[in-house]
Amino acid sequence: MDQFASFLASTVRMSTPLIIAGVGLVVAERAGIMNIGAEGIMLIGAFAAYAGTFFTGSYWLGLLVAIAASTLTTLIFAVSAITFRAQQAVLGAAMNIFGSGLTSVLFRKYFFYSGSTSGVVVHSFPTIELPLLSKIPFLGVILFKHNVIVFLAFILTMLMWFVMKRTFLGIKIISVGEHPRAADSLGINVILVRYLSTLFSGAMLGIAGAYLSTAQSNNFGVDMTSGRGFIALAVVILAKWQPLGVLAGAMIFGAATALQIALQNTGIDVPANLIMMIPYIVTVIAVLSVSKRQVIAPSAKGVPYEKN
Amino acid sequence: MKGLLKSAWKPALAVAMAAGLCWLLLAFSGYDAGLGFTSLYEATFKNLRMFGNMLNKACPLLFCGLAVGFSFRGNVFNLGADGQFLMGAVAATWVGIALSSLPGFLLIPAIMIAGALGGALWGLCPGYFKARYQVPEVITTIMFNHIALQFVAYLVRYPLKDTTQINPQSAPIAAQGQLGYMLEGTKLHAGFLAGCIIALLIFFLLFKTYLGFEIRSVGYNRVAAKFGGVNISRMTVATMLISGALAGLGGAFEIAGSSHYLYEVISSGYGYTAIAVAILAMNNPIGIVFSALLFGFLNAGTTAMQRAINVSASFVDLFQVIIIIFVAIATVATKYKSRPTLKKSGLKFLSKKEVA
Repeated sequence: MDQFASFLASTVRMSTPLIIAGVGLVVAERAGIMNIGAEGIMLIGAFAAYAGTFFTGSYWLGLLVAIAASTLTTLIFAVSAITFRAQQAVLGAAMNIFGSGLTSVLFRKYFFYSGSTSGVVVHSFPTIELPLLSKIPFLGVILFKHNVIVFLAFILTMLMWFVMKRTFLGIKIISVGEHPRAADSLGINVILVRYLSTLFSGAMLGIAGAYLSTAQSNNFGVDMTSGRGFIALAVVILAKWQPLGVLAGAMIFGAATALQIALQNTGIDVPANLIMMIPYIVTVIAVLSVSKRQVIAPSAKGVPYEKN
Repeated sequence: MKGLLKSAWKPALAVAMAAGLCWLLLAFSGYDAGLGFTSLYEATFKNLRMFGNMLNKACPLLFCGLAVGFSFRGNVFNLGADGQFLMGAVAATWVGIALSSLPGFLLIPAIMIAGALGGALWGLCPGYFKARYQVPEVITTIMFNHIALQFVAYLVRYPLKDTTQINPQSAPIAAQGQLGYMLEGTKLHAGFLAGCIIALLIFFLLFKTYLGFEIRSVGYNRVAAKFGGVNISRMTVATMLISGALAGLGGAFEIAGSSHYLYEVISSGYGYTAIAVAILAMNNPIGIVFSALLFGFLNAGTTAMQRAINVSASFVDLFQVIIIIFVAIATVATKYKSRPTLKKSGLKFLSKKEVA
């Protein structure tokens, strides 16, 4: 039972970056922008959080630096995709190369010491036990004994659910993604809504990246996101573009990663490289099983809008 | 000639801008930009051996670039050239070891066919998923890259491991299956030349055959193509098959020509650089030959640059990014400008000349 509880707790920890990134990407895709650069932007967030924490000594400031850096990077994407209407998939691919390249260059310049591939360890977000709640048997360990970003992820999801379902802003975002021309004729500023939604996804990717380097671990590694940005894009499909669905979708991948780690720790006699395939295979199968049931994506997803 | 100039100025400007920006970036970050660029240049043009080396480095980029560019033509975003390249290399290695009793004139073609098949099969799955279930290929192809990467790492550690070596790598393929060197004093193999010929074939396929016309029509305008009677699903699968085969062939040439054995990092992200290769050439197979040369030149020089001024070899990535973004914007800017006339826009492919 204890082992099962710690497996579920690990699932929650592993799904946190996917929840945060997924919520951000849901908002962007609802507004019609497919941010394939998620992987690279998340990586920049991870590096910025690490560097920020290293130089200021505070992981909170590191988190702020991560949000700023990722949002700025997303701005490059947003200007090219929204104002210049370039192909989003191509730009996204460029952002991924950018994230990987820039972080490698900067990491080598500032943190590369005598041949080691990892940098100096920094302070990271500590685990907090919520008073009373963490004492609940079984559930307490799974849900209420985590670092603060895990709790933040759940709060953010609820908040975005409220915004998308219950506010005028949410309706604006959805209408811009479904039928920008109609939204425009109703006086909604399509370009502005798209910019804000895309930048929001960038900020979320920054937090997700910061989680990887300063909460889940206390170090930065070159290309440490290892596909999580793309898995987050898969989570969006699994979630059927609903913020609450992101929770469920992210948990599947969190469980796959937790399983991978648990299997490696038990010292089971299966080569590590085969075990490491699990999260990627699960992603393919999960997206496939959902897509069979005809999920409807926002109709203007990935289509640039040109104002007449 | 006038047409060539008209289509080449955008990529040329992109390259010039990227070079200028990279120079400034290096200079502002306190690196010796002049020394860096000199070492970059010397890594290719110092002597004939270095030049042959550069052509060998351009070879996988040429094949992967053709793969990516071909898929973009058919509106399929194959970001999985890296995985297809790896699976091509796996198949080529396996055939090169298993069929070692064959004479060279049979073994080399067998290796190439195996490579192409390996890549094509690895591209087929995401293509089929997209065609049948509308699963976005950008996600599945990337997942398949990661799976292929782990698969290769597994193979060179266990089933294919050369036990006489400390590092995880496979045994070399049979000697008669290895490509010879074409120029004395260099290690230049036939891969780049073969890539040029295949680029011509792909050009012919895209612009002079019915299949190519159908693939491009899906790329220009899905809806119009569908009403024109094109089977979109079949074209998507065909696009991914051919694209995967091209990348896989690149893997086979890398095994037979350069490394002769399989190892974990046999692809240093060729499938991702290939995106820049294809975009810079605006997905034109002939143009891809030249942009593969440019990126081969950069790839060959970054290690030297890292040694000379201690900037990370990943610096070349930033060069790619500037190029991709600039060309992507420039392409759209001109497309929209010519829209009102309808002549140069999406309806172009319906003109009588091309249908006939």
